[in-house]
Amino acid sequence: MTTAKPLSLPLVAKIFIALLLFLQVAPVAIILQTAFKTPRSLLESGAFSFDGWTLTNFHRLFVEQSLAPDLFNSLTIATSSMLMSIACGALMAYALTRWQSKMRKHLLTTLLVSRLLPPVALALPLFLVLQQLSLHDTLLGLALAHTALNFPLATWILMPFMDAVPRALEEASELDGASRYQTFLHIILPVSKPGLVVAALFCFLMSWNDFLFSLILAGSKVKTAPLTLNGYVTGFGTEWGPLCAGACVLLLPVFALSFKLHQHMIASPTQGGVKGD
Amino acid sequence: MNTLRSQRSIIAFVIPGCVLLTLLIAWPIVQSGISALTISSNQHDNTLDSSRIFAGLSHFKTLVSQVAFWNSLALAALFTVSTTILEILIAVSVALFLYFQKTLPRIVEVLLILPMFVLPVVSGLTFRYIYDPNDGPLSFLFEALGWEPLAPLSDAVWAFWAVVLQDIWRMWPFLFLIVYAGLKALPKSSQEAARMDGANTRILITHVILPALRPTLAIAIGLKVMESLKVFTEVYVMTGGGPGDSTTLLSLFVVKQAFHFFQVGPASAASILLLALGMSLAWGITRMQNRAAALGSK
Repeated sequence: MTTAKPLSLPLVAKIFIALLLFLQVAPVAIILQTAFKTPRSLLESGAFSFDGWTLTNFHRLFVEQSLAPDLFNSLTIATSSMLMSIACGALMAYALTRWQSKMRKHLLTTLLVSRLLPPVALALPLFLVLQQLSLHDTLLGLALAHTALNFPLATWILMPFMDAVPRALEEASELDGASRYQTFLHIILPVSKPGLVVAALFCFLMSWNDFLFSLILAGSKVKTAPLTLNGYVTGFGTEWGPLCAGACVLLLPVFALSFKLHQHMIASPTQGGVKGD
Repeated sequence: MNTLRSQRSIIAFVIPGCVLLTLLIAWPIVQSGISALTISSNQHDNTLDSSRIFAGLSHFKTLVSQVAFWNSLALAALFTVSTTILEILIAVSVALFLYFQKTLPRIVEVLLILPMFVLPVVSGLTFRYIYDPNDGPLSFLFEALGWEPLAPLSDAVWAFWAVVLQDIWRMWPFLFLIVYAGLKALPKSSQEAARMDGANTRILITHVILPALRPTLAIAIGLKVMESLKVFTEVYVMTGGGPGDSTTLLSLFVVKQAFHFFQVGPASAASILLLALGMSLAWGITRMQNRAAALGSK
């Protein structure tokens, strides 16, 4: 506001924001604090006592509870489904920005709808189908399920980037004798790298965050870390120390990648490529 | 440039995605349609390979005859309405606050939206810990204050609102980001004109800003309703749908039917209903978005 006198917000609004800030941060702070607390101080007075930092909970998590294999499963599934999602997404996005056919619109709608469907409604049918394909309770089955659900988003993210690649660039490449596939590989993909990074981060995070599909499409032979973490809750009392430590381990890549994502979101679809025009 | 040959060569690009969509989205939906409309000739074999007999709408009838189904539908509706109203209120207030209070450090905004990044499973477990009657921070706080100890997750009514609170904590930042972006994109001229005419902040908000924000709010609400339909993990982790059925939302009902009671037929029928609900909402939102885009371009 440049014209009128500066606004002063009522005190009530400021108190409201301060309170909200506290409420938003407190649960995260509680997990962090509990993760580094000694078991004794947790037992005696829960959240409010504190007798020094300790890594006991992390030690127990990895040595006694052996979270590492499940963490590795999560990582494998997230990475492979991310790679498959951006591969399918990039190919699809390129086709959808270049194709002149009636199919194009149908595909776009299908992609949008499959992105918006409630995953719970797909969980049971996917379970039945993966059983038929004998992919139930396998790393590949879970990674494929994540890919099917996530690649439509990758496509949507990549489309503006692919669309922004100047057609002149492609024409030049084809005049030089490159096939469409070579053009895609050597011209389109490198130019849309910022989009690929954003899509990859999103796909990784969505797979990493998934609980429902791990629960239903796997869970006995193949367990992911979120599932294992939930398994620490028992009816006979839960050891919140290792559980919160596990929560921290799961949160770490999310915060790191979200930060990275934010940096990349600022990047615009294309800079340069063709001069003049 | 666009010769027939090069147009045809595009088809290869859509194949991997189409195979995935067909195999893991379309085929499962068809299969669940089949299992919703048929019964297995072998009662103990629920796989799709067994020979199946057409059963008409009998699974749907079983479904609607269950009190638990209507209960889960009602809970899902109540959950959607209450979280949407409360979250949009918080989101709009915070967005307006940050819009007028420009001197606030950026870190405040980041910390406010922090919960949005927390994994659903971690969010659910965190709140389960906070509410835990034996070791939870809340129970220690109550003890320190000399109040009655409480166990919200073992009380039918409190458990539901505890779940709602968890959702508000994690999801209002999502609505806030949409509203805030819409707010920042509003043209400044009409606000300045209103200021010149002597409008105070309240009038400015109620008569100038909020009416202009209506398309953004409609989209935010639409997306939120869609998200509420998807909610599963947080609730499953916090309460498992209990105590009793008091937090069994529609999504949890489907999973319980299928994997606890092995009622594949009725569960498939419920999945189909959920899909139909999701699709019609998705259709509504895309229409709304198109209309908003059309309004924006005018």
